[in-house]
Amino acid sequence: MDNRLRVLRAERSWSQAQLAERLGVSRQTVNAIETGKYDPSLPLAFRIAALFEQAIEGIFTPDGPSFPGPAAP
Amino acid sequence: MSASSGLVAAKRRLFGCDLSANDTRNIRRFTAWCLAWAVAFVAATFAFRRGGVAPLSPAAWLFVALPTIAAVQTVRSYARFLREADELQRTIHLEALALGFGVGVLFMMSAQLFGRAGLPELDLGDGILAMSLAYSFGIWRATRRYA
Repeated sequence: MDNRLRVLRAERSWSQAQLAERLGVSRQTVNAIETGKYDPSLPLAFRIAALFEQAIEGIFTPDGPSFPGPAAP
Repeated sequence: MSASSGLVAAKRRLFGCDLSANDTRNIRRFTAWCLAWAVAFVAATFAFRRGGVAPLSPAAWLFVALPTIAAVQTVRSYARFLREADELQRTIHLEALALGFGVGVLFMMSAQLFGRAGLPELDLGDGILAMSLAYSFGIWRATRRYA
């Protein structure tokens, strides 16, 4: 899963440690998410979205083909 | 550099991670119970081997109860650590537990087959050592993977 976490963090001039503290996770978790090595849980993804005041899909995007969604009636 | 920041830096170099204050506190509690368990177990084994403890005496019950209580507290403290851990730490430890459990089962199954096949028999007790080593390797590997 791709994400814009590093960009959003840089826009606010926060260090990984500062972001980790605001999210209540370890710096290693923030680093692993930013480098795409770890996908956050849904509650953490919601906390990240709330912190940056964005929708989850505005921060995280799936790697593969996206789900087509419900068929039109 | 203070002693505590030196410890943190050493831990980061060794494991590639930094634990939160709560995780560090829980790991310390778990380690303390582990040590208490080991000391109680060694003391009980030593006492029974020397033969100075009469069967079913209060001392015998004490030497059985103390390691058991310490063991239960060790498991409880580890469960608490897992429950409250940072979610990446929890993932790392669950991966390591899965590896340790798998190696332990494999070892114990293989130990029986080795003996039946005429190969050198493996001691089932060594399965605990194999599990511990696999668990430690699993922690190291998963920590490196997510670093």
